[in-house]
Amino acid sequence: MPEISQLIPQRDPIVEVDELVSASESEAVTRLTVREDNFFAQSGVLHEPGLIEHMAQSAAAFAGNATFLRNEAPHLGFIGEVKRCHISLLPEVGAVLTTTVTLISEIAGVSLVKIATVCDGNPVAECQMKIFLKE
Amino acid sequence: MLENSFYKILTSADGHYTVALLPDCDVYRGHFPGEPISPGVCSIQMVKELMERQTGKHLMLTDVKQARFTTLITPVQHHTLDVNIELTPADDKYTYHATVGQGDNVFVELKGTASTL
Repeated sequence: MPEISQLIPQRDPIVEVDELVSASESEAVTRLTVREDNFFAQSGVLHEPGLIEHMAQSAAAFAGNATFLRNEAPHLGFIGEVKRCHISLLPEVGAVLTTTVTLISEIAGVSLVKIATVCDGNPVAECQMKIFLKE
Repeated sequence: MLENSFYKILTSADGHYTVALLPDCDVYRGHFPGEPISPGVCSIQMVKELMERQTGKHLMLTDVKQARFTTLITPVQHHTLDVNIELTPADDKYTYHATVGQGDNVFVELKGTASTL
């Protein structure tokens, strides 16, 4: 798998995905270890915006992989809509998050994806997102 | 977390806030290099912090039923933002409806449930 910086346009201090673990045409798996210096970590836990950004960047990495395979730089992507987002827990520093992105539909630069994040087999967060990719 | 780094409260009354965006926030180094755009999740966190201020309680955004981002916010184009928050208490939770924008123009709309910690 390519380095994460080749797949998403975000840079330090707001990189919320460490690696793309696997990717197919319709699904991708990403990973993030929560570090103390994470932009959205406070009092030893990763807060809601960090989880939502992690899910969004996981979707961006999924889209970025398709772009990478076409030899293009990652496009800027923006969250258009988050729906039915449920956060079960705020993971502690040191936790390893594994996230699965499933493509529901893709029309004219707008992707609708379903995203679920787990840690040690326990659900952490899930949502649906509409992502706009800038050409 | 983000007060006085990402935004600063200018006025606050009864669920209506005016905030200034701080263009020197560290987040813009990476979002995106040479093209500062306010991360949508920072708007979500800002609303959460203002809700905590409003209720005097620590909250967790357990459910975001819907968050719509209709206009990109940048600290260059948008020096100040209006934030409006309606909170309805229910047991140990609050349902919220919040907007971030300028006057009648809404850039972000959030609906959901927050739990008290």
